[in-house]
Amino acid sequence: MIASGSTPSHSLRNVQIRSILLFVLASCSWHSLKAQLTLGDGDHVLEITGRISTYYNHRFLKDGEENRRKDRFRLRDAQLQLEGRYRNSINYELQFDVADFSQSATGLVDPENVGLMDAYVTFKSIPHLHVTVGYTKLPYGRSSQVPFIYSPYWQRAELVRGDLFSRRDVGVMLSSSFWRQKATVYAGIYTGLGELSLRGDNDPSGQPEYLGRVEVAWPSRYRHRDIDDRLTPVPMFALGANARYTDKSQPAGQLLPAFAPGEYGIKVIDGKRSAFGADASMQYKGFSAQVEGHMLRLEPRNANSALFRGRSADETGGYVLAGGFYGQLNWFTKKYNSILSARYEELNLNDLAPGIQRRFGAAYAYQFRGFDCMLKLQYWQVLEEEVSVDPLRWSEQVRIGIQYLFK
Amino acid sequence: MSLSLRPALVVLGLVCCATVNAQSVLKLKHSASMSVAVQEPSDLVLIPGSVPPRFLVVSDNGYVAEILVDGTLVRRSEELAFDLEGALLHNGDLMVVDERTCRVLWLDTATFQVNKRLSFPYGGGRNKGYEAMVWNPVKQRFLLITERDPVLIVELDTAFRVVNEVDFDRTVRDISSATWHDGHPWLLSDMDMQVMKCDPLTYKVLERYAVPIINPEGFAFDGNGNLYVLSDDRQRLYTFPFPPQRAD
Repeated sequence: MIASGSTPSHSLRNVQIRSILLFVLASCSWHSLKAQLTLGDGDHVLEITGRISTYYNHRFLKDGEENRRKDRFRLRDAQLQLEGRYRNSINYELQFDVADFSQSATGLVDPENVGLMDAYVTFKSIPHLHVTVGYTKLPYGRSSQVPFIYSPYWQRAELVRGDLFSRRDVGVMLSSSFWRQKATVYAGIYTGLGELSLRGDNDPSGQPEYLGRVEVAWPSRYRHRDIDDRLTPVPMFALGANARYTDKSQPAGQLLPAFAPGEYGIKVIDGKRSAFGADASMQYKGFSAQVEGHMLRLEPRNANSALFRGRSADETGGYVLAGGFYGQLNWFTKKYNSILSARYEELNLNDLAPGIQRRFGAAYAYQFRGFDCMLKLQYWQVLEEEVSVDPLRWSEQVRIGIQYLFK
Repeated sequence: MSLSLRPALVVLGLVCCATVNAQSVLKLKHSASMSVAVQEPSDLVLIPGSVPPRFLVVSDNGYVAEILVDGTLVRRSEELAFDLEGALLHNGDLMVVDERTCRVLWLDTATFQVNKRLSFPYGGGRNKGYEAMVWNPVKQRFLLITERDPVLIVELDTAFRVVNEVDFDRTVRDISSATWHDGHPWLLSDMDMQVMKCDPLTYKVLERYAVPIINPEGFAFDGNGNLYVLSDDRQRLYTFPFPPQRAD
């Protein structure tokens, strides 16, 4: 009913506000007014969680650089996650970050902060086989599988944060675990445009991307976590290997969608693109380590592609290599509720361009309430730049802030 | 300071901050371990009077099984629930706790038929619900215990009405199982890898013992000097001499 003197839009807004209030009240009304984080009817259980995180960033600029726009507070996460189970046959998840939507609307896509993070359904009715359909993380690279909330860092390693290869896409994934979940195999087919696939259409080639990954752990199943907060009493190891391939050669006169090539111009290319990676992880008594490497082979369709850096086909063989590795050491101390970590990485964004990029990073996190409420401090230093591909205005960076999870 | 020195100083600082995390609990050492033929086992109860010991085990996959002490499967039920995490044998009834649906199921121990089912609504996180159940004969209460954030001990009377809630020790990160032994409730923490002897009236922790195994999810005492601890991730049953002999 429209109240006297109010417009339909006001009335609609009132209805929306009342609906939200009703939802919030219903969510808080159980017994002793505990936060209602799960709703269920026996067969169907829905869990509502979320995360808010804010940091302050400071960059140490090179001499002569004056633009200090990166010295700022930033709302990194304002996320809501709805995760459900229907009996033992279906899992689903919808996760989004409203802080990222405004940035995504400009056309730029920060692959680590894309707005929509998960929107998928997993069907588990077939014995030993899970089928996941929708938009979610790709089974490529171990680091990408580790939920960011379990990291003391404010940013993933440059190699794996989504500028060299996509971390999310729309498609279908099959997975199967065996040997008491010590081994898992993944295979998937996706649009191939990564986070940009959310815009709807494929690129003019219409070609998909194929991915596969194998993980093996010993002596027991190894969860996708970097920090050994359980102080594992026996050494645990995990190894992984993965590959992906797509041929996005554009038809004559057609171009890749804007922003598809990404920050370094190699995320999606007009041509064939293969990537191979391997990773290892271990943990023991609070100490943990990860190492991960990736190699990209890019075969641009056009001999005049900028990726060839003006070199002839005889010199290049018709392809360009890119990739790198990173290693990370972590220590968790329950006594001091703290995590310490150090990270080193090397990147070569184009083997035809001179130089490589090397970075060092360190992080400290203090847990007020486990990972749910954590102070995080991260430090970066650029040790070496690949100036011809990715010139930087800064040499060091510090980021400090709070991560809070309601779950 | 030159830029190249800074990484080295940061690493040095991290190392200097590191100190040994001293344990104030007595560490137990297992004398045997056996593979268990139950997928993702999450709790166990000893069948009273069984010689050699036999156990009823619940699985994360929603079924109940009977195993021998060597881990061999004797029998198993069909899928009864979605995520069974706790088990209690009381007056011949087997009660099992389904964490996801916040339900307790009463089973016939001979047939594993479900005789009764009750819900105990709890709004905590999906994987932070009821994880353990035990009978406290001192207070004549059933105890339903949530896993974490927070660990709550919910007291139920014999008609299964909630009569009290107690916050458990906040220094314990989670609870994965509970049992009664030697006049006390005992609780197991998976994340802290400890078994804790508690006061039967206040639930204050009286003694702590470290059980250094991966993902301990269930435990039981046989009264003959053995503590059995079940590892979910490793699907193994560990035997510890108990009480342990102190070195001094």
